[in-house]
Amino acid sequence: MALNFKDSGNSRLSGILLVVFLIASLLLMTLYVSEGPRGALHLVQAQVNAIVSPFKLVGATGGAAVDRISTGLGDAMADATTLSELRQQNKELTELVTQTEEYRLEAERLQGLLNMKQTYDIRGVTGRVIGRSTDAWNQTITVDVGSADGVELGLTVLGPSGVVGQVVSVASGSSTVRLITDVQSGVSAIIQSSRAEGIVRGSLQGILFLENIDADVSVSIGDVVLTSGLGGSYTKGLLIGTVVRVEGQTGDDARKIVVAQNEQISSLEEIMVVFSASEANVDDVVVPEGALVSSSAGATAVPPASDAAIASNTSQPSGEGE
Amino acid sequence: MSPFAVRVVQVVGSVVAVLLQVAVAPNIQILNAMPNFVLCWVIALAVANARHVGYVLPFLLGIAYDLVGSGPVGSMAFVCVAATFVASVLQRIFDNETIFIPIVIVVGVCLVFEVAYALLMTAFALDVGLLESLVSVALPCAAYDIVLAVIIYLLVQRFVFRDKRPNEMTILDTKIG
Repeated sequence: MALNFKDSGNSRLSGILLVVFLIASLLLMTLYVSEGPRGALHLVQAQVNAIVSPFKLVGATGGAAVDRISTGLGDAMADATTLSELRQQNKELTELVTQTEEYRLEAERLQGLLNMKQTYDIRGVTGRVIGRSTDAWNQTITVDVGSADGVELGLTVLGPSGVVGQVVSVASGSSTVRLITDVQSGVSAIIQSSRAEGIVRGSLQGILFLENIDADVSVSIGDVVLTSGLGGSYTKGLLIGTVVRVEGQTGDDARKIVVAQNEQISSLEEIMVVFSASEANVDDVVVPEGALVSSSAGATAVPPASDAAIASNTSQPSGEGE
Repeated sequence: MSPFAVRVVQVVGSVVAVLLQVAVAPNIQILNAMPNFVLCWVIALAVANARHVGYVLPFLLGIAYDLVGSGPVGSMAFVCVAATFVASVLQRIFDNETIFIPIVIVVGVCLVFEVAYALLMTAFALDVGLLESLVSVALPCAAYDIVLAVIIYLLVQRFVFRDKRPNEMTILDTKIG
């Protein structure tokens, strides 16, 4: 079809195009919704996502650069009265400290992933987050590992301190992960203390709700919520988060249980796609120290307890795990 | 600007809109509000060029938006084509050669079609209530889009279609009768 951008003087053709495109759009939508995640349109979408992922990475890097520039500008203006030598020295030291801090934080995150891997005896592949959802309706991330690294549809994705989501589309060198905070996500879950089973669902606001818990089950703030493994979509016994709010009493069918995800999604930079894991005993799982516990009221950081040696692959997070 | 140059601007602007959506939009999200550069561009162009509007570009742009995102393919294409039609028709009907009416149309169409997209999402993709989707996402996004679309419209009108209305860049200079 010719790219007829300007079809003035031919209102009939214009009208036909309008109707054709509207019908085509509706047909595509219907097909997309009905075909399932392995359908042709989903595959095309995954491929296009893979093609544009470098632009997403550039955008994310640009966003960080803008932050750094604005910080640098502020510093430069504050130092305007100092000697140029000291300014230069200060600039170099600041850069060094920033870089060191960056390495320290990266090491901390990778240590978290390594701890998770050891706790669950995970076989998987680690990767970097290279992009985020381009629309407000989906909470997804793009990661730099794909089918070439063994990633498949439906695999569980972990952050340094808990489950973050599930692979929903795969291309050769990248994958899209739907976060558990997405409104389309649902994870079979179990409360560690009471063994009550339910489903953790995301929402448009990015808040996690624990649903389908029996009304007579007592739920307290601080209860640890884990994946139950029911349905087979998520590996059993992985940490999801902790209960931070319970609206309603025991016996109330309509009570709302809010779960704070153990992972701070906005600062997520490295992930691990889980190929297989030993099904951990849910009693043995503890909320890792150093984890960021996020909630609608903000994030609380628990300081890390361990300064254990950092894994040798610190500077190369992409690579298959044991 | 010659018709050829206008077409070039339309195509280049469309590519830029998609790139901005991919690279910039996720980084300038405010709470749940993320701008939709594609919809803003389509609406601004439809109002600025209402008498010569086409539907191929909006359709392709909508498909591109759907493919680079994670939503149902076809949904934004539908919205872009429909928004182009409505915006251009309204502009043709109410155009009084001032800048006030086009801006009102841009604002109204942005709002209506973000709501329309929310309707499509709740009908086809999401298991949430319409009210929740409107309050949580659609209206915050619409507010963002309105600001961007008005800016884009003013720029396009000023630099691309300026021959059409040389002396009417005032808001209150409304013709009566």
